Amino acid sequence: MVHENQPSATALMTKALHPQVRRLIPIATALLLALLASQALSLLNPLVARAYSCGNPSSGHCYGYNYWSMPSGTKGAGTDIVVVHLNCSSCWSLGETGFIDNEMWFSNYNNSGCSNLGNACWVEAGYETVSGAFSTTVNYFWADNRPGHGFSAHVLAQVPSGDYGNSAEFSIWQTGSGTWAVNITSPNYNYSNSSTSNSMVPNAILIGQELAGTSGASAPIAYFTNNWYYDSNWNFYYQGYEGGVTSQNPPSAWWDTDPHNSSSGGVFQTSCC
Amino acid sequence: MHKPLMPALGLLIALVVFVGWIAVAQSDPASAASSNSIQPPAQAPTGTAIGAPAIQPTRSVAASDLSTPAFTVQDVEQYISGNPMSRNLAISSKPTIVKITFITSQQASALLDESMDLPDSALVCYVELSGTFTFPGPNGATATFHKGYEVFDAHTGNLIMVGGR
Repeated sequence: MVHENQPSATALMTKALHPQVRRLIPIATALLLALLASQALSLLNPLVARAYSCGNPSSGHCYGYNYWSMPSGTKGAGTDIVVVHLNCSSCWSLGETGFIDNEMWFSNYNNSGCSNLGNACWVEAGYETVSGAFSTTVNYFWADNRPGHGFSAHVLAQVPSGDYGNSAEFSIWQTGSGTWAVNITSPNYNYSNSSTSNSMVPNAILIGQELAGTSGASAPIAYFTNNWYYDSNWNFYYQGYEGGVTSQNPPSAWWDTDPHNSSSGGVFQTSCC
Repeated sequence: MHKPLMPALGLLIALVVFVGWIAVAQSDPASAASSNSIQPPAQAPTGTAIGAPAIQPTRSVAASDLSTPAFTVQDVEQYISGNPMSRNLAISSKPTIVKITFITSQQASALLDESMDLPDSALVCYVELSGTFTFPGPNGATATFHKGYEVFDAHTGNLIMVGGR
């Protein structure tokens, strides 16, 4: 029980402080309040929709990704992505094809066989929001852009509720001439298929987030770990260095743990918006 | 004289503790994953059926009936006219429907030279479109085509593939 005349612990601490220090307390409090406000905004960031320009042929989509330039003929790539709650609730109501995803691209740039495909061929896999006539769902997906065959995107199963908060592994590797296995493995979903008739010669691996549309998307922080590749001789390696990071804000992308300081390819992060 | 400082000091201590906690939560992947896991899902996942809900079935078809679609050509036309193609950047280009056909998954696979995600005997709805279809890739790559397509599961109406040739 505290007596009325008994000084409180705070009062005693205040009295014990040097007068100059005491004068700094209100200033320090104000600075901390400002810091707290910025931190709170940062935490709320994924929940607060904001306008962006990521949805037409002139502006293109927006990206937050890491780009590794690889030796031509790299055989495979993989990453584990924590499955987070992507949201794109108003993307469709605007009559746009808005979406947001987290994914990996295994790409071949500057290949003459891909000249009519934006000078790039690729196989990509991840999870994304898909808006239909009645709802927006979050689905696993993969896609390929193949020499002579064009672009195809496969909309797979909706992400099972038990996968949220857990890692899903996405891997792509060559299984034969012109054939690339696509695998998705999560606690509640296993998927395998192949990109066939695909003569790409990969020379880049990218991991990150893609954003399309003008508003309404959000995504909490997702982590990309166990970033690995097979070299042209089928030797397995974890990535050992940071590639080039593109962060168009939105989406935001950054390295939390540099691969150089990690034995499993580092920890990359994305978030939006 | 000291009294106005007392609540300020108490507030200062509380703020230091709270800001420290936020900083730890933001930097710790496990903590962040844990905090994500307690948020309600933005969209309720349902099972492992392939594709995303798109065309509303208008016919009742037994699951064992592999040859009858659960929606009509008119249902497809209505969906296509009201829903731009997913991932297509060229949204101002209104595509023209060239063909709507119900074929097996195996036939669609042969038509597109692309592995499908349904059994060979499953019925799908293949829609061929004419217009401008631009699909983006990373690092500035875009692929533009004048023939586009969408494939739907003919029993669920789910959208299972989009693309351009």
